[in-house]
Amino acid sequence: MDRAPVLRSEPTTVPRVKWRLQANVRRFLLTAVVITQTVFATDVMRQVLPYQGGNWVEIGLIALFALMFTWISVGFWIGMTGFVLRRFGGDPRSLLRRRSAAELDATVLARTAIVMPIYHEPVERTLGGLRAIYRSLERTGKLADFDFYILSDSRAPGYWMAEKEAWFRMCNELGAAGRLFYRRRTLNMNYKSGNIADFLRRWGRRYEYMIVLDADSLMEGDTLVKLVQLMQLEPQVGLIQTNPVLVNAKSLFARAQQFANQVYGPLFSTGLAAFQLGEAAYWGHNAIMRIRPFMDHCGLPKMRGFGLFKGPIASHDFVESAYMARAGHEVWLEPGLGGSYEESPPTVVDELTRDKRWAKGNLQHLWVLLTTPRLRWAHRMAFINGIMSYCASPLWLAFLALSTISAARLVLQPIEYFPQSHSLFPQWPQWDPLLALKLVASTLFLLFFPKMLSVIDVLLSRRRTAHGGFFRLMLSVNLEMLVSTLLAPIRMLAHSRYVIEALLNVSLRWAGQNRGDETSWQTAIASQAPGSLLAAAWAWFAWTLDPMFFYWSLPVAIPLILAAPTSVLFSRVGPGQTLRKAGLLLVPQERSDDRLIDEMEHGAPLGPRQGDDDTGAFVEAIIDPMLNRMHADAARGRAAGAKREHLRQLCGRCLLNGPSALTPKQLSLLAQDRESLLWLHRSAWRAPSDSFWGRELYTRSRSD
Amino acid sequence: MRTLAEEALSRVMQYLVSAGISPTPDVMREALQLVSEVLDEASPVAEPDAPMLFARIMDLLPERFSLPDPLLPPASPPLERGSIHYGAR
Repeated sequence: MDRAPVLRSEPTTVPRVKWRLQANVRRFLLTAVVITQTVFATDVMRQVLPYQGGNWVEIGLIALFALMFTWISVGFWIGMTGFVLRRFGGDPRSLLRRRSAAELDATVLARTAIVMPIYHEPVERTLGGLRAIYRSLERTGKLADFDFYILSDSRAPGYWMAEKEAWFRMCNELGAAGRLFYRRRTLNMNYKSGNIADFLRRWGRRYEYMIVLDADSLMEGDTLVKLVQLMQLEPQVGLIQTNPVLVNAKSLFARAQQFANQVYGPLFSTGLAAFQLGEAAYWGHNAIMRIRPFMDHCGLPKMRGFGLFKGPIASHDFVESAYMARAGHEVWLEPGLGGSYEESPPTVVDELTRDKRWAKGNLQHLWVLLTTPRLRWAHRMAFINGIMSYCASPLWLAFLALSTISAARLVLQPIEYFPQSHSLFPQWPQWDPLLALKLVASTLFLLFFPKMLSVIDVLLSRRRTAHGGFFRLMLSVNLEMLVSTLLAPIRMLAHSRYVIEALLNVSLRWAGQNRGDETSWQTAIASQAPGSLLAAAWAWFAWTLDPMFFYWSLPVAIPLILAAPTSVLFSRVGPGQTLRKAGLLLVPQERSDDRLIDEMEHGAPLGPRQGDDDTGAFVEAIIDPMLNRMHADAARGRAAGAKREHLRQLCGRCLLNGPSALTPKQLSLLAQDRESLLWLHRSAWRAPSDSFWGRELYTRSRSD
Repeated sequence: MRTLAEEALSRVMQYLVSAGISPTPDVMREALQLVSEVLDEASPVAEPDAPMLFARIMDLLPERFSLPDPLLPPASPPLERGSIHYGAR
């Protein structure tokens, strides 16, 4: 096989585009404008408070306000920058703008591995997506330069046997034998990054590049090819991150997320990329990386701190991009590359479950940030950005708590005319409702104006038809804002809990993401009731203090009180599809057929006919002669002595009572033993009609 | 309620189709012949024992039909081991 020459790990001395100077200028301007704005707003906040920061509660409020305002202000200016750049046709400094289409097309590709790490994911969706990617790449005529790897960390036999069956079916259907591989680690270590590292140790040297997918990733073949071409042309680049957009949403919640992502996302991603330039962050998937420097510099050592800061790094991506940049390689976010997709969690509960892991992962970055030498300043800022994504919630919660204390003190305690001891002059509490309103209005402006700019961007770039036309677009924006307003306090409370749990180092369960089920009332009440009760108590307390304070509390309290019905309603596919039919919350992929998504959704079934339960794939592996051979061929066959005797006993029990008589661990033992698989296959087809296997064969003959 | 013969024939056809053999008329005739022969082997007075019957049929199946050898794709390419480096270099 022809192999492209392996490039050196160290960056070459190609003429550097002077992006660093540009990045420094942009970052300086951003810092200056954010600090100025925050200082001004914080001073206004001080004036709004009754004692103008004259006691510890008000000092706390001012400090929290300053932190949160800085956060909001950064987001605002990123959105503004994105809007301006998009109006001028994109960032002239971007990697993509350096090369013409002809130059890209003329570039020879190099060997590239496309890897999809999975862990207890629904097989049809996950590997159906990989099949669609494979076909899309096939259509480019460049398939020969790519290999595909399914990297499984699944432990439950119901999952990994179904994955293996799907891989087998895909190889046959696509003619992908020798190009599509399946690897399951027997020992799970260090989460997803450990899975990738395991792949690299075994096969990394075979490839120049690696494209990492998530279980819900979808990428166009053209985009994959373009990524490799860009890497070939820019040898100093170690990693290119695409900007995946959300697609394939069904529930009301996911469709609102998807709409927001596609309407507002382009501005923010363009703005973010403009400030990061060659020091962008890796988001963990839908990205290409140069394997050699990645292996040389991006291994993640275990943290040697305490509590949360001890052990493997859970959230690997930001750290890997920081290490790549530290080694002198550029990392770029390229929003201009289309054809990169992912999915939203279908429900609020699922999103919050995912956020629980991410909160812990991002907080761990504090240790990396403080203890790792020679990191680029931009990556230290990216760590802070990630940490703030979750810490903003407890800050907001603390702000609400201090506001409540402040209001309670005003009502319940006598007015403090001399807050500072040894003062001859009394300090009268002052209220300036007009100034307070102005402050609230300007904060809301910072929050919502970038969204308005996004809508203007949609209109100016003639994308309104793809979102249902002008009026439906406007209606959809209002609907999305209502949804996000209702969800904001729910997220705030949940994130606050996750941050506290992470800091206390409560152990987290690392589970696959739900990608289809609606939220039941039971689940919603169980997960949201504490927040609802807390909010109701808070609102009642506010009412007893002061009706004005009560009204002020309502925008936070009402969404929390309604959290359970909200999460049930938003998780429903019915309302989501009704809105779709009405042309609301529309995205381009919903208006016109997208071949990639269509192929993912309507391909031939890949998984076992009994679904994803623990025994379906096992039954299939015993009955189907082809699958039995495939599983047996990959299984071990060296058990002897007591272990062989134990396996024989398990086989006997399985034959007599069916696989549900065994535990998942016992099923796993049988599924990994060649002799047991072959014996069970032989015996099942000889089983009497009234046995489990006889009935199973009869049912199948009826359905076939 | 199916007779034993019907069930045996059903199993044979089910197995052949699962193994990748198309159910052509010739294949079906051959399957029928196989079941008939095995039934004839059994005692003419007593009802044949079902597990024995299925076992005999399944034993004879590879002799009567050329079951295709499944093309098993390689699960992984040959190893080319490398190392991951940790920490600053």
